[in-house]
Amino acid sequence: MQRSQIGILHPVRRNIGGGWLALLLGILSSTPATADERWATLAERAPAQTSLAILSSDIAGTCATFQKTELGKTVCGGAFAPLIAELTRLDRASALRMKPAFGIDWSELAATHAPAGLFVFPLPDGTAGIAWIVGRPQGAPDLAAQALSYFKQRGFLETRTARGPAQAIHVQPADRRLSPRGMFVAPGVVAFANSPAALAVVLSAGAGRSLAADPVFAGTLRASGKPPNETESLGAELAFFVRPVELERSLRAKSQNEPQQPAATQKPGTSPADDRRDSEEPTAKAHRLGWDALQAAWGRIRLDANQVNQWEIHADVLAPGPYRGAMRMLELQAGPAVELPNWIPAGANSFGAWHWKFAAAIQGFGSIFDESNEPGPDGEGLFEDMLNGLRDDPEGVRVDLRRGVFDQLEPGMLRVNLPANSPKPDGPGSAWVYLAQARNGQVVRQTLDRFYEGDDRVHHSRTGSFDMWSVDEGASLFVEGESSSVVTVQGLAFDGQRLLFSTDADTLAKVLAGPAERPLADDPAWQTIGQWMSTLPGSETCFRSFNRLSASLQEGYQAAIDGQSRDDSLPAQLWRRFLFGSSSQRGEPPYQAAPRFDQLQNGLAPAGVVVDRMNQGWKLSLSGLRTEQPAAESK
Amino acid sequence: MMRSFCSMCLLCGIFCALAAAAHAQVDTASAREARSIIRELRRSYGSQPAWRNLATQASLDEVEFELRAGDRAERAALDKAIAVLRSSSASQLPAASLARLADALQARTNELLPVARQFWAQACRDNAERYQAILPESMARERKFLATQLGAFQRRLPSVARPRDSWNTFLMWTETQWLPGANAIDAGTLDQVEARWRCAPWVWDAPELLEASLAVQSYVRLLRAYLSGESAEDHRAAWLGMARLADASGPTTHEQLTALASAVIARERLGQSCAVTAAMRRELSQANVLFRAKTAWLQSMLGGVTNENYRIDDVYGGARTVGNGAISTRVRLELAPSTSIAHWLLRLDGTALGATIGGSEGVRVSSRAATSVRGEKRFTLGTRGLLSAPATASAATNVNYTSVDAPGRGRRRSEAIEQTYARKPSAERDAAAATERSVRARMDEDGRKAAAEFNRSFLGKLKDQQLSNYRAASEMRVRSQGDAIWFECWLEDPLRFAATVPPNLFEFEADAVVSLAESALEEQVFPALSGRRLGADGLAKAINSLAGQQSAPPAANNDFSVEFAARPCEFAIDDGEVGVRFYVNKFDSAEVVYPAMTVDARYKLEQRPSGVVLVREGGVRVRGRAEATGGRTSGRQQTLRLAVERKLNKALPVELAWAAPKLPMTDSSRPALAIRSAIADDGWLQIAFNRNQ
Repeated sequence: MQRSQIGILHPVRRNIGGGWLALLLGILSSTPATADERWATLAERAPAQTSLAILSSDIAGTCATFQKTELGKTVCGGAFAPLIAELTRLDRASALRMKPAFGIDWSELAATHAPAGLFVFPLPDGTAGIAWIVGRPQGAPDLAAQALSYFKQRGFLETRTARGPAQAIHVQPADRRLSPRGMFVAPGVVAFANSPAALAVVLSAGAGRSLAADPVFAGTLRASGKPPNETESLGAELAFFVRPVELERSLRAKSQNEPQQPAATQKPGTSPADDRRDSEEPTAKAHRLGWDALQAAWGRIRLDANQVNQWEIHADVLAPGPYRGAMRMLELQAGPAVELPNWIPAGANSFGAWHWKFAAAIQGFGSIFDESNEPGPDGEGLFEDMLNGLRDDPEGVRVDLRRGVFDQLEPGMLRVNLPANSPKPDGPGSAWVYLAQARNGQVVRQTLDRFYEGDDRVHHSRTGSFDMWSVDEGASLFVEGESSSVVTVQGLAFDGQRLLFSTDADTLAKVLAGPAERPLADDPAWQTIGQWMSTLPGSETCFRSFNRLSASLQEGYQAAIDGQSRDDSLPAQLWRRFLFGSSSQRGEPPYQAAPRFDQLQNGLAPAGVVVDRMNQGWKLSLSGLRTEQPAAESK
Repeated sequence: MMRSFCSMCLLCGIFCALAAAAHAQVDTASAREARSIIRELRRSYGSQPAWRNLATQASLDEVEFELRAGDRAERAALDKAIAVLRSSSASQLPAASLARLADALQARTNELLPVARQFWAQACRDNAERYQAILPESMARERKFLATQLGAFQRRLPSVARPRDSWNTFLMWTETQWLPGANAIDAGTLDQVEARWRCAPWVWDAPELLEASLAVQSYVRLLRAYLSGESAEDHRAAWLGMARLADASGPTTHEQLTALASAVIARERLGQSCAVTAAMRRELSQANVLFRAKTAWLQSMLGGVTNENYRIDDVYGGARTVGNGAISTRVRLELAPSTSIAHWLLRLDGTALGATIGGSEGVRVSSRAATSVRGEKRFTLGTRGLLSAPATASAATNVNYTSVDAPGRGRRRSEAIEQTYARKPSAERDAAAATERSVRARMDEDGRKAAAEFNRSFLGKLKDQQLSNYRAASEMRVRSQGDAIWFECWLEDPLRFAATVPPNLFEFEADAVVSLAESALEEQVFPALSGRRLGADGLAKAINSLAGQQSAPPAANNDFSVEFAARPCEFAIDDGEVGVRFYVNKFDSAEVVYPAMTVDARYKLEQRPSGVVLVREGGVRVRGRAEATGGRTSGRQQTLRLAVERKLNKALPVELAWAAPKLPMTDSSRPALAIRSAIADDGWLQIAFNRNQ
């Protein structure tokens, strides 16, 4: 089969690569960077409060390398061409087409052999400012002139201000409905900001007030001083630095100037109560839930189309304890690699195995449960009260789940995501199955028996050596209520040692039915990932996972391209940003022009994640395989 | 006096709370005939004093009340009217018609003969063997009758046929029009039509509407029976089932009483009301809102002495007269004995003294006048609120000339003075007439305002709220006997009885006592909660408003919504506590949806200087529906209780205060009511009041 007819120099195609990187980083929400003087030079121009920085030693090299990977080929292929054409027609900015925001685009960057960085930082109003900062080596294209030319063609007026050796340039649209932009030109560097406010923040960065002066970032540069591999082309390695809590907050923040959605286009079912749920100040909420322990992550991304592992990310996460709130779920412990159970089929979407302190993890789950049931500080303690009530209520069954179940479970956990046995039109297309090992099976069994005794909505059955409890669709095995936001367990099985629970009873029943016809352990993709995992040097590994991106990224993507979707999750938000840009732009995003998810699947290869425990956080390693070639194409 | 009227009216407005009762035996031929004769006589002789005297002596308004009260009708007023009619010697009225009326009333009293409790079971067994299929011929006859009544009503009110007319909507006129030709109609529509027509006479008592209302209600029951196609076996089984519940020992437990009430209502709804169902209804469905007031207290509240100065500027005896006067009046309230509609008579006795100067044709007269005046104004208080008749007044004036100054001399002057004295009787008549007019106008004006204010309160708090939910009462009785009056109201769910037992005697010496049965509280809550979906704030506000608190204490920051069942709650009152069980269909909190549940709360009655306070005992108790009905609860289901209890405990007020009612239009000179004591026991909440000394 012939691949895309669109040539590599086609500007539309070249638009895509960097945007994909931004998305990739967002999705993986992670990490590290190599020390590079050129990166430090760029970081000196970035504000200290930068929440995301992606740095390339050679942006043109990066674009070229990325386009050679399977991932790059997919996103640079014809699938996205209609969307980019539509964005161009609408003059709408997104990661796929940056010109309306910055005056430059991927095509210009792909021709610029210079260090470059994309920086996201909070503006005074809480929203996100974005800036490209690009080096100006001898002979490089004059990006500023190209950007000015673009804006002038659209009637923007130029105002220049001298800022020491630099020149600040504001471009003001004649059409007041358009947003003004800004850039500055300094010796050796040029910057493009998506708004005058962003430009002001960038201009305010200086000695002692820049990202380069930030102790964490400086430490990052010092710690990752490994020189680039000689065999790699310049630009094949990217560095990144992220403050995930701040990034998430600024990306979710809405500008006061953001136009209100007309009533006709508002999402159905939203109510004042929905708004009230989010009324807690984000910083306070992050602190209460413990997320602010995630201070920063940094690391490197290596791209190499010639390797089986076409991309790799190595990152450090700074998350010093002690943890509170939901973060207690991430108190991971080092443990041996798990042997894959034979009931995991080759078609599994993902699996993850980790070791944690079960009691602390349950407390962390309680925080999420509280927040889901009763958002805000008033809801704190709901889960604990329920456990206490189950234990102490004189009218109740007097079951102590802490002592009878949670304290009896070993630290090792396994989680598998399987395609749903019989997917419902409105339900998720997959189900989760968890596996834990119990120390004292008799205590656990007695506790579960008492917990479910006399419950006419819970079905009890036996499958092999397993007792299985299940509830019908919509119900939950833990609470008499329905929730879509916390794990709703609908099936639970116990054989005296193994405790399995699932979000879908049918899927669990299928698991219990016996070994998979073709287990995941025999799957070449897993074997490759497993091999890669074994090469990693870590001795404190606490989390390992295998992930088919072609399945796990689907839900967020579908939500993003569905204009009616109410999905406000981070993956959906990131996809929306990547595809359609900021929602503050005028007009309806061109949802219809976005490619179907199956058009992306060739580029979304299986990936692996390994996490090692560190003194102040974790070390993450991620790797994506070369895309599995469909049989027809490989002919 | 204005103040007295308003006090009286608002007092009633506060306490005669919402009433509702389902008609049982909706109408009978004898009742229909009696109403027809009364209408005919009123039409022909209504303006004649003889008729008015007869109507007063026979208390015909009370008779008419009983003639449309269905199975809850009482015989006393009918017996009294029969005696008056049979002994009437009013030659101006047709004796034959009066005799026919007496016979019709006698027939109705016979229908109301009580069935003693020990015979209930046997009567039910007898009915079990009296199955009568509803034949098409009888349906045709009833259809024709219904069509006639509806036609008469439409002629009286043509606008009812207009689609957007309010009566058209209220009476579901389109659906009503289906009835005469209906061979199939859904049960819900039938119930709605029946409820609305039952409500209608509360608003407007035009005879045509009343007759149409009774005809529709009767026909709906017949149609329901016809469509149900009850077989002889089903009929027999139903009556025998009732017989078992009503056997010699009688229903003793709450469950048995409830079952018997349901069985009676089921028979009534199929048009099978009879003497025994009427007896059961009268005995087992007691008034559930009672207000007892001492006559002496009412009289002290509503009567009194007033002194006023006034300016005189009028023509008496042909002479322009100016001056000043002072009038002293004493108002007394008289309460006539009654069993259904209260007759209150406000009597005014007054004396006016005036000093005037008048003149005509050069004669100048200084005089002093003394006028004695009497006025009366009659009120009736019934289901349509407070109604008043025009005031009457009579006055007599005695004028004493203190000086007469005439121009001229001698004979001419003497003649002028003589003529002046000759006109004195005329002046006295004119002055008396002016006083009568003034007193009548004043009493009518005050009465009009008072009635308007009362009815506004009555309509707003009682009728409008109930009517908007189509749960209006058919009956509210005001009994006046001895030294007390009783307001009795039936707040009744169409499928349940009101109070199964009357309240215990409580604080007999108190000036006033309010008694509320559990079922009355349930009906009061019904409009606020039935089928409604409320957020945390709305729920707290609704609960507070039920206790009469205007401002809700700030609810905790809570984000949930609760959807109540159609029948939203049940109350249980005993041992100093008021327990309430709410039926919730759905409880949404943030991302979680909880299924149907019940919520129990217990409030302890406490008396404090500020009034009666209901203090929540501990937290609310939440149970899944299965658990509430005695089923077993698993640990999983227990989590529902624990999560929702936590939210409701935060959202619901811990204390519900019920301050002593402050009567509007009262001032510092008039004593307010103070709570004397309160009790919650045996299914009743009772609060006694005394005059605040």
